[in-house]
Amino acid sequence: MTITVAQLQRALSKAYFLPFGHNPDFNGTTNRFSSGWIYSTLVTTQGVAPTTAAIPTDATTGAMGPLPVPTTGKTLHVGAVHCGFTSNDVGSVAMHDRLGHMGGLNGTTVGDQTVNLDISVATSNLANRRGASDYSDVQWWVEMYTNGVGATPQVLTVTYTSGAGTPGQTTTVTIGGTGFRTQSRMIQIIPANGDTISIVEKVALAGSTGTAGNFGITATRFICYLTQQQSAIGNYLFTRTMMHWSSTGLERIHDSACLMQVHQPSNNSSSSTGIKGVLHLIEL
Amino acid sequence: MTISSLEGLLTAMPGGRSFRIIKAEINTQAQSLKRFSYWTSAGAPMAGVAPTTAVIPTNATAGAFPFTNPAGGAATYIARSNIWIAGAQTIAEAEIIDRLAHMGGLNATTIGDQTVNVDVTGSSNNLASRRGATDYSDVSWYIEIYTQIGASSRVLTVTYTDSLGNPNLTHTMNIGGSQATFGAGALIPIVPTNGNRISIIQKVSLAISTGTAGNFGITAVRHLCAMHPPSGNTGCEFDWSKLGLPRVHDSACLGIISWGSGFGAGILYGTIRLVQA
Repeated sequence: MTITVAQLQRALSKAYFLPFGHNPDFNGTTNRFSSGWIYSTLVTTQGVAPTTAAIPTDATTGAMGPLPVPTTGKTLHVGAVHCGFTSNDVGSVAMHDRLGHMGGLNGTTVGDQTVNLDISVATSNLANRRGASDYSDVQWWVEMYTNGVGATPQVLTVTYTSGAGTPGQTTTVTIGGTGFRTQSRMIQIIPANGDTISIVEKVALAGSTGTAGNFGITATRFICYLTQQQSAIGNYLFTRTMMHWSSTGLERIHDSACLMQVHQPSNNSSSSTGIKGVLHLIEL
Repeated sequence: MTISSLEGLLTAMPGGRSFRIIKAEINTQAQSLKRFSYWTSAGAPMAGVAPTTAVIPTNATAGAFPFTNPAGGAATYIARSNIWIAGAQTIAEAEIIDRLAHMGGLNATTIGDQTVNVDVTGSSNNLASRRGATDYSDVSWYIEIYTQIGASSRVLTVTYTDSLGNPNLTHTMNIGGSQATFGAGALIPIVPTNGNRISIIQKVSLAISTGTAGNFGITAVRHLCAMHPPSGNTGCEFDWSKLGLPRVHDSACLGIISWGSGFGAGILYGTIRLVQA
């Protein structure tokens, strides 16, 4: 289907505004990723820490939504996004589709803990939501749900099935300690040897972090990105940043997508820091 | 096919693919106004390996962004990208390059000739398209440091063939002496002072040892686009109009280099979005 300038113009003029917001912020630490999932109290409803593996959707509590249903023959895309930060927080916000998640992992348990988070299934339109068939669009994270696991950094071995379907592959990530333990922290899992991941089977800590906490494994697909370069001047309403269609790439939002934000601050943000914005969804 | 209209771009954009960037800091002592390569940096894309003999790397080479060549004559473009450079004193530019050819294993204590034979005149791995202009003006040449060499600044004579095919021309430059000229990841430009353009580098020759063997090589790249956050520990988003919608030719070996304004090369986070039409 060809998208003409006239079609885009019409679509933008009829955009559906999907607001989002969080207050307080996501325990921001300079350069570290934080999840908006369980800090969703300003506009978006607050998410719940999952237990067993699940495929969240736009109907899941914590998701931005519900999503509008596009007209027959049309598809939903990101036409623009704008948001602002409070306080002295400067940084970025990325929109992701939360493809799968599980929680309840323990930061003091040494040895195997079952994960079984499988995004190779077709449940909740996942076949479309996950993107490329080699799983290269999917990002995997350790996500902290309580504040937090312990102060002792430990190596976490992640056992996964590759995008090519080979089980029992492993990679490692360090969790615990300063910057890698507080509630909402997201720590990226980078598979070995350029692999992609379709299933995370289990994780195993080499030693105790010192505190059980509650962490889990999350799979997302990156949608679009927004940066704010200037600190707030008294009120975040004055410091908004907007990215229009050329920056959002007219990214497709598939049916049932569970939209969430991932925050990366430029400075350690206080508990009073918040974020508020609007996603402009258009039909093409 | 290529993107030849705004409608063509609009139609291609939603179908693109995003590739994640997470690259460990390649050199904590990197100096301002100098380029550093992230080829061997761990993360995503996965770390590349220091080469030995001269080769033409591709999108299938470990270390490259693993995009798939489009089918049916379609073309690939960089439609948008975001980059975050972490490091309190780092304000840098990140550049996306096509790594056209490289070799390594040169020794910075060896006095006299060392064979290079990096040749970008061929057509293997789609090099004829990847190198750009027929006069080789799109090709940039660098000394690339894979393992730190010596701290003594020494004259290196580079013997090359120019874009007109004249062999055995020489250019002298210094390597060693500072992080920008001996540190891991450092890219030292090879720019003939007479305005010549280079198509082949045949050999290099050190007059005096730098003091440490290390491991260095010769790399030819084509610069595709650049992004620059306004300060350290922050990000930026560049759309197609800022990037110039650069064409990524089939088999291109996409990599990242930084060009710093501060101290330390920084950790990179981000994505590049490729569209095909």
